[in-house]
Amino acid sequence: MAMLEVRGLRAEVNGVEILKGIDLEVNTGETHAIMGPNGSGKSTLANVLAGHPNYAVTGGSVTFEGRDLLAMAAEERARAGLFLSFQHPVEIPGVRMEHFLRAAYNEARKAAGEPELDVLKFDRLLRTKVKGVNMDPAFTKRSVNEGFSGGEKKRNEVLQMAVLTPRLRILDEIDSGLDVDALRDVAGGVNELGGPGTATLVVTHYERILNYLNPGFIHVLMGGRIVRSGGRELAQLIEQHGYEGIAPSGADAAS
Amino acid sequence: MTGIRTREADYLAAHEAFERNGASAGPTWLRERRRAAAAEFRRVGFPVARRGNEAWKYTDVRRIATRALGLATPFAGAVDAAPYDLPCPRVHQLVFVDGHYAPALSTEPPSEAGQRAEVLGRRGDGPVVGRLVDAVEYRLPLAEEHLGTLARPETGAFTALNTAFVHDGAYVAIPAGLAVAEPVYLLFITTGAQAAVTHPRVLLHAGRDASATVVVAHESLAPQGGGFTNAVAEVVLDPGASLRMVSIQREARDAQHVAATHAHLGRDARLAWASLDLGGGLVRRETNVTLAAPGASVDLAGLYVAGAGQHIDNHTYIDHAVPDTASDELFKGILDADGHGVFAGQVLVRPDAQRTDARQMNKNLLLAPGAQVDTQPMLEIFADDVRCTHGAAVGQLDQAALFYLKSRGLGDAAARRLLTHGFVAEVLTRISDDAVRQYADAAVLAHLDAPTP
Amino acid sequence: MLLQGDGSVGEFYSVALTKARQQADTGTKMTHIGKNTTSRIISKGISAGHGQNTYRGLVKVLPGAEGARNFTQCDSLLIGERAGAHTVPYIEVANPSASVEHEASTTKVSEEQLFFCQQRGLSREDAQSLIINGFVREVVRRLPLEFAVEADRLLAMNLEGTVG
Repeated sequence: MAMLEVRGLRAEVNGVEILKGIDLEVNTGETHAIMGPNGSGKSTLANVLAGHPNYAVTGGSVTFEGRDLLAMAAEERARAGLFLSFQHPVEIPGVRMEHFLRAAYNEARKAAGEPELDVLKFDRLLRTKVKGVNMDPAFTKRSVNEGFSGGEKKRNEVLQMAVLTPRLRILDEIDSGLDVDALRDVAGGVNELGGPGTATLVVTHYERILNYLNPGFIHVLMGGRIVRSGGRELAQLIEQHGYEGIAPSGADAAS
Repeated sequence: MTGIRTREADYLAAHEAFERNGASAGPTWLRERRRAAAAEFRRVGFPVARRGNEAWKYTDVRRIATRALGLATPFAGAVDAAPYDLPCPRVHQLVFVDGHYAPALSTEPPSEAGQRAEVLGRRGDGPVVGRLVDAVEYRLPLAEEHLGTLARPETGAFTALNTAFVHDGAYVAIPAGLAVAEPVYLLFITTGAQAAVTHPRVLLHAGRDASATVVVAHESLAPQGGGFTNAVAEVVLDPGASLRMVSIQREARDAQHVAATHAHLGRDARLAWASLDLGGGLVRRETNVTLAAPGASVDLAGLYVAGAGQHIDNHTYIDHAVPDTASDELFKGILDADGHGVFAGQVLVRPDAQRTDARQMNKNLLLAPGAQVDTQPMLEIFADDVRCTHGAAVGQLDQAALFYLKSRGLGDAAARRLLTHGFVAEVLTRISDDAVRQYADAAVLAHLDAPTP
Repeated sequence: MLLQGDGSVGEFYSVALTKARQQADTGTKMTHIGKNTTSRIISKGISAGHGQNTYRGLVKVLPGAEGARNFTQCDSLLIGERAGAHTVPYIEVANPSASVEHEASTTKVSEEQLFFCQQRGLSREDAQSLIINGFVREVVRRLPLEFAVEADRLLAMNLEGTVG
């Protein structure tokens, strides 16, 4: 059984169908990349898998480790080990990082039937995690993402990944707005945290990030469908010929 | 006004009886001020008109005006004030129960008349904190100089009514040059044992370059059985003084609470104010600040949380009377169930008040159908070299933030609680004293977590 | 303005200019009644000399006005130290899904701005009308072209002689 099985997934937003039948299997230990032009539905797929309320699933099924993912609320998916790294992490004024992270961490512990960590113990854990992702410890005293630079926001996503230790990591345009150094750090963090038992789904417009994350599987998403799948060589083809250049003729691709 | 019977005559009769009562007699100047205030109250009556009554457009006080309430009598039972204990040492604590001084709960209860005179009369070595009635009796000059001079009867019917009954209350004077690190705590408790009216009074004076923190709390022992609290505070800051004030109101859910504060700031004086209105059924808080000399500045912050059956109205008035003054105002409201919030903030920049820097913001969260808010941020500017902005916003919890929290495993209720608490943080961070801020934060959290009645 | 139909949109744009001892009151009443109604109010007041501008507006969201949206912006430009600007909005919201925002600011034409333009060769009067044009652009550009031209001309005429 694959970790993630997506069958014929259809979804719409505000009555407009964006995903028109997605099939995808991701196994433990694998890294998959979903590539596609702007507006192809990449981010929609990532958000639908995480349970964003603005997207309505109109068909198909998704199982995560055998469970019906679509029947679960967003928070249940998170507690079950699915993590979405947001393209644009939202700023939450007044909510301190350490409070937020402790609440999230303890929810996962509760869901796993483990006792919650008290403030002191969690603080110790958080400090090692912060050090692990090369963040300034002062960030934990600040409001979630408030006033963070683009790079800091993405590092913060990696920090949350480090704290929550998910098994399925969905990275939505994790490279957007990052300079080369930040990109290397963020990708390095993702790789380091991706031990055995995890899988990664990378959603990206550009090939650049793939040099760091090294996916074994590439899928091209156009017009709400996966029009082509292959190995790393597919990404190079896209780089050379563009998305239109590699779309199979006759495919109902562009929308 | 048809078909309603307002109780002005009852209050005026009570005032007459009060004046005949020897215990409340006091010196001539005080009796004159009481009489003038009663005359003003007789003239204007309760502000119950529903038309052409701009200041009370959104708040209907007929619930107060028609209620037959006597002056609160001393509470005979024992009161446990522990739940309202500040989690820090305080330089002085004055406690009033149902409007009457509670020596057993107050610090340094002065027993002998001579000792009282000494405590109240001392200068230079500590703040002077005591009963207003003693300050008047021992002729502390500040009492006569300031009492009723900022909160003039013409400023409003409720203020006039308070002054008509002014007798006891809290008197706080910080001597010039003194910086007091620990807060002064003024605690007014209503027991709920009697439905009655109290007229709490506070007179606060910070001398030249003095610095202090004062916490004023209005608490109810019982969640129901509230009467009518009609509070007035006068705050005078001499040049260079710095005062931090925090006002916490958690009266019974069926209580009526009207509170007027009048602050007057001298040259380079600084007032940092934060108010939290969590309780009360019908609440009207008026906060008036006059920046009377160059360099004066005020930081005004407020939070109001109105749930089922609550109506909380904040009126603020900042008078930039002279050049080179600054104000920064932030009021936030959380309205749940059928709670009703009102904010009216007036900023006046007088002619010639050049280089005024005024910022005002009011933000409201509506959490339930039936919740309601009326907001009126007002700028009146009569000078051109100014920097003035204001804004108001009404909305809901940020859906993107809600999803972000859920995507990290927080349940709906936990995510909403965290975001609501985050909304409050912007107000609470303006309380600079750590212990007081934590106390205020705990009060807000307890209130947000309390099951709705 | 009554926004009664579901999805209806109301817009109110105003420019008011007062000089000498003129007083002007502008404003509107925007009542959201239907579902998913949207309104936008942009008010620009220019007060010169002893001129006094007042914006007085009501934005009301009734209990049934699900999804109502309002944005209001009131900006005042002051020219001369006896000029006045007053912003008196009334915002009444009785539906929890509403989103209402009000912003207001007050600025003056600064000596630095005027000097900058003069240093680049503009006359003081031209500099001032340039700054004022920039200030009202947001409103004027929403007018049909012939009105926009007329509005510019009126503003220019009205300002003659206000430079102190």
